[in-house]
Amino acid sequence: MQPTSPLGPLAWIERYCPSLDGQFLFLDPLRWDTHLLSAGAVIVLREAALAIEAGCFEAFRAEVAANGGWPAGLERLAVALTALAERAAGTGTEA
Amino acid sequence: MQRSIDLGAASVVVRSPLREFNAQLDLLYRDHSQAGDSGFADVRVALLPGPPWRVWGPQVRLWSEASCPFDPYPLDSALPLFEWGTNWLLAQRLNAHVLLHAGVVAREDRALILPAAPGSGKSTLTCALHLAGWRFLSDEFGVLDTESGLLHPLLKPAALKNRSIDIIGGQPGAVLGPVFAGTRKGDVAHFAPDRASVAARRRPVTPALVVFPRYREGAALRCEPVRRAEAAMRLGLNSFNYRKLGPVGFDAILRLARTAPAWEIEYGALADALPCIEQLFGKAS
Repeated sequence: MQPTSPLGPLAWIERYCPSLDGQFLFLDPLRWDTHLLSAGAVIVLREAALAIEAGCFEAFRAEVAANGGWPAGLERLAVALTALAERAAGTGTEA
Repeated sequence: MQRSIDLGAASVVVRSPLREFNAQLDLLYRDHSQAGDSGFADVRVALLPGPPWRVWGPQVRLWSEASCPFDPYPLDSALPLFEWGTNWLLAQRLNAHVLLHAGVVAREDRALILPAAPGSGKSTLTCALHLAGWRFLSDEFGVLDTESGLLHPLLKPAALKNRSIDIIGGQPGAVLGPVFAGTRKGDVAHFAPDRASVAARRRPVTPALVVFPRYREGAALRCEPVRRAEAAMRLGLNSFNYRKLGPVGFDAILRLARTAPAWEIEYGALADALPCIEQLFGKAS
């Protein structure tokens, strides 16, 4: 599945991960599921988005693995953000 | 006979030669304007008798767009097939709006939204509130406009099941169609909303309060606030098309969760639930 938004990973988080009374809702750009996230999870996701945009997401994944692994379910969301960067770069594969 | 029924947010054209079924539509849609065919319709169906040589007795089929999407019903159960089938088709097709699986009633154009899973007592509670003076918009669909944030009425009869038939049917002013015993969902009867609600079916309302209801036999009244983010999640889950709409649905649900406070109530008696809801609605003003 291809994301339809022209937004990059960081811009997506800014737009589709708003805070409501201290909790965060995140819209998965690939599957259009919505996830309820803690502030800590959003920090990790934001760092993942920065890494994706800097072209060093694999190094970031290795660093997360070395530090005890991802919070439950979060890696899948971070990987979904990579599709936004691939789309922006025109390197995404057709679904 | 063919008729076009204006439900407010949608229109349905129905055609059937079945005399009894048409008489039931005359009763339940008595206040809807019914033209022969006004052109565009969101859903077009025909309720036609099946072949007469069936082993299990005569049957009725619902045809839509040259296909029969559902199993046939007994011939005398055309109305439950029509009501259930058109609800299903509307849920598939009305994707210009977020379709919440919710009862909706209103006071002075301010809406109370009752999102719930099947079996939570949503229809019974919606009808009870309507009989207590609230305007009826739907017992099944919260039609949320993604641009304005308003809710559109979708005025269809409410499907009451089993014990709810007597509970609602026994109240002054309640108009119900015939009882269909032993359907796949148990005994079913349809409740007709009042004339004023039908007349207002083109007038949208502003969301004011969300209440997630849960009926449990014998339960004492329990009423708790729901945090906005959790309310948004639950609204999305109680929707027919939230995921289909992606960012558009996300924005609409977020806006709703931000503007309307949400509560959860569990109750064992309508006499407990109604005053509690009145109080919550008053506070939300």
